[in-house]
Amino acid sequence: MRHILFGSIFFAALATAAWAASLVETDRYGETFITYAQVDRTNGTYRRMLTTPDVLAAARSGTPLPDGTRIFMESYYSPGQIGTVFHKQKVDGRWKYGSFSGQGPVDLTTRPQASCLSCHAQAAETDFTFTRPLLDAAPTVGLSTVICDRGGRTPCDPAVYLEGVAN
Amino acid sequence: MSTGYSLGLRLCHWITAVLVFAQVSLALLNTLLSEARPGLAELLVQAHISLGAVIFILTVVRIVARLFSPVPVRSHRRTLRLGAIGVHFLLYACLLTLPISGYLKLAWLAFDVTLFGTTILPVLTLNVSLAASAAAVHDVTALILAVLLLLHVAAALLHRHFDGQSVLAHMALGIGLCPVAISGFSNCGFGERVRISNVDCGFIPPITSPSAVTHPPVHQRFDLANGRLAHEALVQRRSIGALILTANTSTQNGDHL
Repeated sequence: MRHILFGSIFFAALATAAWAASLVETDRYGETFITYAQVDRTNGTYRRMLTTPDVLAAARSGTPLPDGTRIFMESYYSPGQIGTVFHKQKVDGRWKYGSFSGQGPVDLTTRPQASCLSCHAQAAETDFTFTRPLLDAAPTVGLSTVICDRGGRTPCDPAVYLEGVAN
Repeated sequence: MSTGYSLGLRLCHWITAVLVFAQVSLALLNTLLSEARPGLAELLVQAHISLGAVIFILTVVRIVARLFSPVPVRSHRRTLRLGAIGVHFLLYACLLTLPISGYLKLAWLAFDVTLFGTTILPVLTLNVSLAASAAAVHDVTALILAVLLLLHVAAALLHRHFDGQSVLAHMALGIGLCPVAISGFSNCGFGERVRISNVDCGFIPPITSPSAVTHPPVHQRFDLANGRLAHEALVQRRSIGALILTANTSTQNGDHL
């Protein structure tokens, strides 16, 4: 019985340590953000998705993300080289979008943008957020990595994000 | 007998053509720039939306104008004529459907659709499924329009090449006061007085060569400066290939214009 107890504690601690290690924090955008997902493209580019710890804590699958939610998407054109940083913020129940160069100053201004919304409408079932399944799973499984076989910014099939939780 | 569209319709036609080309370019550029220059891409989308509204208004104007303007007489076979009518009808339908579906796709996402940064079109209640339907209609209609435009241009070129009928001339833009100043008399007979869009454009004198009177596409030019009418007749005879007869004649101001 004692072995089982110690064993459980050991594996729980191991899992927590692994989770904490996988969820990388950064404060480069003015407050603490946590990377909850990485989307690799077949052309070698990849995106990292970040949000704040309070959003990770508040996210409940099937319910809209709370007002004030900020999500960042860092585009990496090669390992370690940030290109464009896209971000969005929820204001009065609606998403506003913004972007800036990863090599330049941070610009946190957002506004409704047709080009962004038109694309994100494909993820309407998950609160206009493609990686929402990965965000919901992050508190329990940590950083998820998915592979998207589509080029450019063409969004992946939402099923990719569902199946890719903590891969 | 009417042989050309009115100047207003011809202007609408070519402005629409330029705008449709611009719309396609804007859509493609948006796709190319959305990663590296998302701010510029958004500006292109806003321009796409505004120009779409202009196309919609122009199309409505054209449809109304066509109801009250003479339409060129088409002399080809019935099946081709019906085909042309069908393509034109579908072109108009697409030019109306695209702006409407584009607007609905955004409006049903509760997006404030603005035109040229000022006018805000009505916002609709958020309805994602209807927005998705409108987006699908927009995408499919764009593809249909692309196919129709290819048919439209191909038909115009083929008519000119095989039938000697200058249907392109029906849409040529003039340079003088008369509605048809460059061309557009493909169905006119020599020795007839020409009336286009309720403007008496003059009298085409007979040409002495009998072979030239069969079915000549005639390129007209009006010399308004000295009040004289001059025309050049280019006659193509399919039986002998490319025999071109150019006749330069002139008539006195008292008879014409």
